[in-house]
Amino acid sequence: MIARFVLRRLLELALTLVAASFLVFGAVHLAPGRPETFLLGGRAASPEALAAIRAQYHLDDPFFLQYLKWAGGVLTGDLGRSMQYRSPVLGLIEARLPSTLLLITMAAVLVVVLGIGLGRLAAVGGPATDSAVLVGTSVALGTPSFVAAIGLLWVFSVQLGWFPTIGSGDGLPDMIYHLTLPSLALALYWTGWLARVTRGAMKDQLALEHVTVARSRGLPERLVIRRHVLRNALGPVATVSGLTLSGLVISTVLVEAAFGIGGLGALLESSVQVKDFPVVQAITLLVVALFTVTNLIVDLCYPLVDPRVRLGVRSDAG
Amino acid sequence: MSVLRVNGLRMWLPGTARPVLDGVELSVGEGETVALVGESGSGKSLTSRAVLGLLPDGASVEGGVEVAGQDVLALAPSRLRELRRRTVAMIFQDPRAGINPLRRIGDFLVEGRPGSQDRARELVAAVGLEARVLRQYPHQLSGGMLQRVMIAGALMGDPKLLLCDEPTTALDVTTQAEIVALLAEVRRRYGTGLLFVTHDLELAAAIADRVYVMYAGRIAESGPAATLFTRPRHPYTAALLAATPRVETRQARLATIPGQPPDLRTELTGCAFAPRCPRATPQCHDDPPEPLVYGEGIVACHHSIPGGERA
Amino acid sequence: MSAVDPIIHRPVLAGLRTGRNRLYLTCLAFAALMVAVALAGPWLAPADPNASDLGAALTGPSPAHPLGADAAGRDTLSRLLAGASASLLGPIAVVLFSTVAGVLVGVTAGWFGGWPDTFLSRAAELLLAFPALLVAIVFVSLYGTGLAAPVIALSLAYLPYVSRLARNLTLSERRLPYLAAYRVQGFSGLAICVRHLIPNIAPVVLAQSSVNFGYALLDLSALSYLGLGVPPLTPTWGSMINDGQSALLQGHPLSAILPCAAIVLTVVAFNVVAEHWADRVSRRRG
Repeated sequence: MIARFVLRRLLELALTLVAASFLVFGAVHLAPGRPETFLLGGRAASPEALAAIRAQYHLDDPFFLQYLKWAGGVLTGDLGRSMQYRSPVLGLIEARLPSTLLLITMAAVLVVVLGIGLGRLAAVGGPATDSAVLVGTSVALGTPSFVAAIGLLWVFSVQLGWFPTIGSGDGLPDMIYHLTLPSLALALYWTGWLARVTRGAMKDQLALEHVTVARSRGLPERLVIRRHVLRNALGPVATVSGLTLSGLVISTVLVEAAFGIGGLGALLESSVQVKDFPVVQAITLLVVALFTVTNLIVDLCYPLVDPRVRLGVRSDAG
Repeated sequence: MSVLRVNGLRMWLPGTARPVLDGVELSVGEGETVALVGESGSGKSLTSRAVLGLLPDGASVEGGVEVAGQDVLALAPSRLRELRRRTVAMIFQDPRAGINPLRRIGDFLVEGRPGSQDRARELVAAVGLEARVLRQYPHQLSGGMLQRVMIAGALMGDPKLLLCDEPTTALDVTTQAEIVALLAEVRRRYGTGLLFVTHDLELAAAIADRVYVMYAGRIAESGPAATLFTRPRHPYTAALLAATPRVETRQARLATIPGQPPDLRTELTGCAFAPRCPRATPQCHDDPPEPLVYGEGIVACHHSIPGGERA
Repeated sequence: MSAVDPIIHRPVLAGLRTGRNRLYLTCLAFAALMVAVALAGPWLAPADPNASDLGAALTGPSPAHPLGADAAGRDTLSRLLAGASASLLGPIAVVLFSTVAGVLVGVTAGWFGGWPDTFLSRAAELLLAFPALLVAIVFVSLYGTGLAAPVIALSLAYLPYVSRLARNLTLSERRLPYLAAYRVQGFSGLAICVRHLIPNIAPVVLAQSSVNFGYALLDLSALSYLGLGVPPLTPTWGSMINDGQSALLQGHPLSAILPCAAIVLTVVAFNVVAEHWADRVSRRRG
């Protein structure tokens, strides 16, 4: 039963990724202009050179064959060759992954800790605290990461001089130091968002009778909030983790641009500017895969959070 | 000696023109079963929740609620928690909503009471459930089984007083009878006083020693179950009895009480029931009736039915 | 209990509502002002937003430049006013397109059910896997500069949110007897959808769509911050921040901070208004 469910979900995941990769590849293929002109960057080239380039990037094959070759390559870890850097995409991504991964991890920790903490505070801290958190999260939800970056740079780098304005540093401690402001900028919006989600889920629980029953049985309020309100609100919070994570990843494009960090986001940005499609394709597929895989993991783990939900059984348990 | 004594309880909620509870007087003796009967909105649930110190947001109260000699409304939070843990417990209307769906039944029973696993096992057996439910989740049990769990949970602290807020309303008919029988058994076995809140007159008559009839936040009439139902003195009680469908006397048409209970946004000048009362006179609209003692009963009515008869 | 609940909660909510009403009205006024500026921006600007007065570069507020000038000596106030157009009209277009297309897709899926529903819902789910900003970035890289590519991309990215809602509303509306009554009377499905179903679900859908405005503004200004999707010589708040960043790092913050404030204030105002509408709609529906 469970094995079959997992298998089915894995199949669905594979189909989603195939469809997504097809969309990505198709969109690139339909783009106006010829890829080789991007490759040449406007320089004139002999017909022989053009033919060689077209052959190297399989540009003369029919569309479907091109897709199959590309998809087959992706499956074997070959994400294609960057036109800009004339080297394998995978290597480019690997080289930029550490700083971006660290940035996202730091931001994700901030989002989870502060988001859930503030949401809890708003839900149980009384009307004044609630209003304060609502105002704070409203501002956070109106502040895109690059605006937050500008604000943080102005206050902490220019005015106070505590943090560097550019770069991602070398060695872990230095990297963490360099990435402090970027991770704060990245986390701000999503912290506000998760705080709102947590607050809403906890308020929903607080209105339920089982919380009244728990109170009527003489349980300390602290225990009621932790065991019956916060714990029960974690399900709805967990279901948005895929969205949060892919949102953090894509926002690195902005934060890395603002802080001059040579990570994955910066790679995507520069590839877009020069129309280096293999890189754009690969990173797009990576983000989509991250979203769908995260959602799959959350789905598979959901029965641990909510015993009413059994794997393979559709339930309207909320 | 009574385990519960409610003295002139008044409660105001923000945005209402009159108190939602207006001078409620009631008592429950040790090991006694008392029913509190009324239509929805009459304040019977508010009263029972006030006994636990569970007040709605923004409520202000006046009067006294004494449980085993302690004034619930004046207790410090920690003392109130202790009272809820040991002295008074409540069974709610919908057992499916009353237990955290993410926790096992065993957790529900023992939480806040470390080392009480044995007591939980004992009580689960006493309410007629198998020990394996301790490891099950609420969604795996039926409504009737969950109400048994609620009862077991309420008995964990060996309370002197058990408040039952419509404990059978959300259950199907056969289960209702089982739960009522179980509650009677609990009372016999543990000597627990029961305050049984219900809108079901038949049920009240079947289970209670004494009955309070509530209307618009006031006690209309109270008395021993037997006399109150056979010889109602308050026109409202009589009308309620007439409106209760019966199997034995097949009526051609169900009697209904004309009109609606008074709105909370309007002030009351006289008797709350006057606009719907067949016996009302101008006096009823102007003067609120004082409670009068008739034998073992009390009735708040200017023109109570003499000697009591079915209207 | 059930009879007691409304009595308990109504006054508290009423207090909250009046408390928030002032905030709502302030935000509504600000949002309306911003839309007016967006429409009239180019004519309001005291100077040519691209005219460079190098002598005034990086100066603070002065009679000639009330909000100072940027590193290239361009008047910040004029650029803010002119930038409002591109910054706000884009999101409005996104909301418009995604709502129309989303309702079309959602109502079709919900009305017909069966395989069209399965196909459309699956397609929408697939789209949800792509973050809106990513779709926009890819579209701009593929289809070039100008507002059209990012607006289409974001419309596409927001479509699933609208269509999912429209589909679910259609499904629950279809179960209501009044629609069956119209069918029995021989009205065509199209007529029922256009004249009864869509007007009935419109308030909820529009509330959701107005929430999307804030997202669209954030995403579009992010694109213009990256220098994507903006035609040259068109100032937007995002591109102004990008232009002003190096000046800010050298200690001249005004030309970067002001457009930042413009974005935050506008998005917050629109979000408060949209949330208020969504709140009101959901309360009215029970």
